[in-house]
Amino acid sequence: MDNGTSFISVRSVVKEYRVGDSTVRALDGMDMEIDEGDMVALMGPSGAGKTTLLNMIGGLDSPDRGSVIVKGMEISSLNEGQRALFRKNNVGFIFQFFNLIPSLTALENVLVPVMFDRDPPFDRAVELLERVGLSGRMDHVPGRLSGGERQRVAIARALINDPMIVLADEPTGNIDSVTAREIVSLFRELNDEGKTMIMATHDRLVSARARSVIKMRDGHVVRGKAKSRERIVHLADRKASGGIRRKVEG
Amino acid sequence: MSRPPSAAETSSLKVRRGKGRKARFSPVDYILKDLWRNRSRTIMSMSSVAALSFLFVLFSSMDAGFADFFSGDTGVPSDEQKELYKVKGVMENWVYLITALSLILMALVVSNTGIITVVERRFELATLRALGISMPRVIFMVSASLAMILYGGVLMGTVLGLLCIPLLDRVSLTLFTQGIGFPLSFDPTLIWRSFLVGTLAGAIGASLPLIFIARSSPLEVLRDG
Repeated sequence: MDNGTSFISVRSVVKEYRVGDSTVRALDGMDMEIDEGDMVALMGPSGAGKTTLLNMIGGLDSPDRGSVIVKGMEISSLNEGQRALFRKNNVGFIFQFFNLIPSLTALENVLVPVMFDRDPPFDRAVELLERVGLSGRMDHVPGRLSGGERQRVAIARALINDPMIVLADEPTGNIDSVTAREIVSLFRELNDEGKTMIMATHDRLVSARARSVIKMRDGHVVRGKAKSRERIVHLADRKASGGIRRKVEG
Repeated sequence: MSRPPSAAETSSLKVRRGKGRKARFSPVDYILKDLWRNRSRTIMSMSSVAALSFLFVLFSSMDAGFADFFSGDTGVPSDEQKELYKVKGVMENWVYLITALSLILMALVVSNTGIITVVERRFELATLRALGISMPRVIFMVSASLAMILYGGVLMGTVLGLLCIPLLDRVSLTLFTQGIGFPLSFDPTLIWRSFLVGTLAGAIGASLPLIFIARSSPLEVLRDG
């Protein structure tokens, strides 16, 4: 799209995995740019490289070749400790299977990413759970929550550090359609507040509410930015009204 | 979301806290909850360590008892005393053997518990790392969890052993006068020696599961999970 001014820039990224005796190329010279405040749906068949791309952007994985740059920082060159710090400060992960800690209550699960902080934001965790509609379920362990409720806890957990980027891997893959609609509306709300949302999904409901759709196949983009005009207008409106908040720390 | 909470919300938070909700959550809370969730394993591992510590304390106190018994001897030993010296030598060897066995078995208990913990919780540990908790902190959490089991067991075994010394000494001394028992004696250094053996066992036993964590890739675990 542009030359290094994008919020997220994925350049000629190649990633291969060993599966048994063979090598699978998950990303094959992937190039992509994502603007700040965008809401992107990554679509494509299984094995297209959606999750691998999410993991690259989130600093969970590093490319074999190429670079991943987030807000001017080349995260592909960071070491494990730096990437952990990057994830903690800048990225909120939402997993398909929620990945909640079974022995902890909903409130404690939300506080997990910040439990080592000197002063964990307890009030913010309570606020986030209230916001996702779980004010009456804070003391419940995941085993006593429905799939939709678990996903809401996972969303609250992803937001506890007020991240710049929220990455969701099949966020509606394990919940019913009614709950899925509510979750997607919540994502849209978060995006309206300035969060950059990137979702790997097969769900047309999610892609319909996204501002951009990037279709992937065999490790590269086959079609992207279908809704870019709408997105640009949307971003311009929000920037004019001061709706985008920027996180300064790295 | 980032707006300050309204007065009503603030007051409702206060009410909830007043009902007993803790206003903080630390890694120690996390570790204790995890130990409680796996309480069967925790209790079993702790009891095994306690039993080994108990044995260590008991045999070491027998050794101390013999040392006390022979401390007053100065002259040429009689044949009977020579026999007793031989028994003392055997006892010392037993103490070394029991110490070595305690060390090895404690290390095995810690290692076994650690490996089960790491394997069973690999998905959870990978999630923690994905959420931005660094590997040294994850290792710290698992180490702390193992240390609680280990030192809990050592403490239980040592206290139980020390409590048993006066009781066993009374029985043993009666038998000793008939030539079949052993004297026992309380030696204050037993406490730190017991914890030293526990610490060595912990260091040896925990190394394997901790290396396992350090070498595992959270990404691979999450992908396979």
